[in-house]
Amino acid sequence: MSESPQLTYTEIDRTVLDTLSPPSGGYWLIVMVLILGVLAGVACWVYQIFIGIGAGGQNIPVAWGTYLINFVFWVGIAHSGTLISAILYLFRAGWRNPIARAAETMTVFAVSIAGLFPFIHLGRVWVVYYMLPYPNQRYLWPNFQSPLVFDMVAISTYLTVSTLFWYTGMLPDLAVVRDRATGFRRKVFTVISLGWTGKHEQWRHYTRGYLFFAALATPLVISVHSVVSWDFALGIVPGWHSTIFAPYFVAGAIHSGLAMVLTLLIPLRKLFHYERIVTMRILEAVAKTIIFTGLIVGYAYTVEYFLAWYSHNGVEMEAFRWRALGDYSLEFWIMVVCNSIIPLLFFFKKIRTSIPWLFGISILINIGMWYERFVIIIGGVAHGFIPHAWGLYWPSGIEWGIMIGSFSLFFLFFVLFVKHLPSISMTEMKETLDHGGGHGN
Amino acid sequence: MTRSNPARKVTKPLLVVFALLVLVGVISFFVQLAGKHPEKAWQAYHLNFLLWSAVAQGGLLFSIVMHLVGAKWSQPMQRLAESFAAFFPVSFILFLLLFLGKGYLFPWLHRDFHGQKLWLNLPFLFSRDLTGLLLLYGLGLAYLYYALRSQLDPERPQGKLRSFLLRNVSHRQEEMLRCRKVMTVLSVLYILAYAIVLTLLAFDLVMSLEPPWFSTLFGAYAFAKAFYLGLAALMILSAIFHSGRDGESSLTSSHLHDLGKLLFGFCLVWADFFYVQLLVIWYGNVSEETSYVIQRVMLLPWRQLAWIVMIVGFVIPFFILLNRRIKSKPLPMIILCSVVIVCLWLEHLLLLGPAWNHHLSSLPLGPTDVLIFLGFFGLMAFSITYFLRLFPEFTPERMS
Repeated sequence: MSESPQLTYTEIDRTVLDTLSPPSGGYWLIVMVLILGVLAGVACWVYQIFIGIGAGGQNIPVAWGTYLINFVFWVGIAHSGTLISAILYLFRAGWRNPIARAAETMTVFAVSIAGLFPFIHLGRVWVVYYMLPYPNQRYLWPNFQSPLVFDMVAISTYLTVSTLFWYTGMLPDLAVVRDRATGFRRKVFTVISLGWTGKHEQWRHYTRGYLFFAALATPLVISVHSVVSWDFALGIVPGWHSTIFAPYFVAGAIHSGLAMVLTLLIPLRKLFHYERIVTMRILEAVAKTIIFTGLIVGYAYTVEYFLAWYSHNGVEMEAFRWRALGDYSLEFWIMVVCNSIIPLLFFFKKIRTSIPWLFGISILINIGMWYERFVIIIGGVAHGFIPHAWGLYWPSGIEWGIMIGSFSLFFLFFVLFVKHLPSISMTEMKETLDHGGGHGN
Repeated sequence: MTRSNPARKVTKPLLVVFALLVLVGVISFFVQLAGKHPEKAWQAYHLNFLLWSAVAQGGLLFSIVMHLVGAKWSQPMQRLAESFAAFFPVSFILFLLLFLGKGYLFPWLHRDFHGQKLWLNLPFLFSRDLTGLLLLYGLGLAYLYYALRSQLDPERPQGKLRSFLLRNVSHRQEEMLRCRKVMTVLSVLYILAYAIVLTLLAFDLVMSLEPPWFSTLFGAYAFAKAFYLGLAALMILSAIFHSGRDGESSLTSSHLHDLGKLLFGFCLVWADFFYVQLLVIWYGNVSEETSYVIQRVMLLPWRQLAWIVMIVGFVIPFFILLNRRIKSKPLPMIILCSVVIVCLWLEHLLLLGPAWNHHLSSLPLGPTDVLIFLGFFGLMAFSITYFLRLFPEFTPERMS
């Protein structure tokens, strides 16, 4: 932390613990607005349960609408949390320490939100247990060759591991809060800090456990979005059946997740006075990583187009021509510009060190990545092999309502988190002060 | 430094050995060319050109990536990785010579693939690949130039080359900072060129040999593989320069351990890309795609080779590299990485062989193939040894 050599242990503790002080009226107002958003989403979902899945805009041939788009979008958002907390930890990139907690929290919440969408899309949500892969007496066996079953296994594993990773990493910090709390709050933190006393033995287990979680989470982050990509790539629909999908989806997921990290951290940094902890150098490092993921995504777009042309396969060529020039061309160009072209602005130091630019571009990337899922999921089946089966889709009001609900729920979780649990890892910050890297070095 | 540079002591006899290997390779190539099957000579040449060029391209990439992310742990190995750029001019000349064997290499040459001729025609193919390689190697050599300028010791006796490299250097510290800035820009450009040019070469010189078949991941698979190869070769070089006892060289066991972890990571990435392509093609079950895989994975004689590649290239390194201690032991690492390079040579044969040879009962591998492989290895080893002899500052013992 060369920018803030005078940062001390006490200052770290004070800055982070100050964020847990009783919130102001403005905070509760934001919470109320978000709760209203969630209620709007719940109301739309309840309406859909009574009316039937037809309340959405899905049709034949576009049977997967925004529910799948949002599912993939939120799983994607989750990924950069693991990149920052686990992969960069294994690479000993010390700059990830101040933002790892917020990113990992984002992962846990985003996977939880993503997990809601298969339920919503099911229509009759009470029969969700049919998806569970166990033999039963109804002679209904889950199709183990279906990528949807892979999905369920992968995502539930991911949610379990990332939650445990997040919670384990937080234990020493929870004990710090416990030691300074009084009354009922102290009782709560005594329970959730699981008897942490900071003994040498506990630290030894903690550092080993953290390393193993990081090592486990790394292949998981690759596998989860690879599996999500196979929901599409394993089919033979033109525009879907592409071998590059797995790595391209993983890179895209990290791209969107990093953008969301900036979207969340920039206001958090301002409101909680984290400027000396989450320094400009760290935001710059996130921006540089976004250039890299943006280039991978741009590479994938280009290669898909080139090979559709190279193949001289009429159906492939038409699918990709229509994607850029057809009914969803606007969505396509939003995707290309926001995901691959605008992030290149981060090559300029002035832009990647300017808070308004960082914030603005992060939001544009989020929009671009949402539209990427739109272009792939809707565009693929809307314009398949046979012209008489072509059709268009646009989300209904109910779908938009549920989408607003999901965004509100995500931000509500995050807003509640930052005021009730330490949003920056005090432990890792102190380690950064000592030797600039993660623990266990 | 009390210990003299081992590289210096042994380079002369080594250079002679490597030159002899090159000679053996050249003779074998011409003997094969003059025999009944001249196409086999060019096919072996093509395959080895791709393999050894990938080793050099991926090897330099290590230094470039480490420079770009500001890694501090990798300093001694970065200098060694830069020595791989010494093979770039050789690789470029080898590519020019490849043109002479065109008639034996491209099965699509005299066939029309319904419109694909626009892309698959020889003048266009060679001119675009030539431009790509010029760009990639130009950037790589420019990076090397600035690395040399920032690292060379002006106190050493000046030859013509050193005088040229160190011209106009008055303040060493300032020059170092300036060079590092230029290297950062060149690093970004090299990485971009690496992805684009290696994709182009993979499409043109490997995938296009069976024109109806295509895979969108093929380019990325090729450049991930090149990095895996580069790391394996760098591990061999690092293990050679590891003194065996920490403290005598700036390259210690913990460096080997860290490089071993990176090698393990890219062993997984390579296998992942292989699997990801296979799964999508197998599940899709479209005959235009599956025929390529069936021929290589299910039919004899290639089936056995596919298993060997999978086990030796992935399964064995995976389990060995899981072990913590072995990653910091030079000899086991030299053996393992040599096996990986040979395995990836076989993997190139697996990709290219079926396109050149139909209806075979046994694998088209003979002593000539091995000798040509050794000739190319000699070229690579000669280039690196000669470079390190010219610039001993790049060896871990002499590093400042």
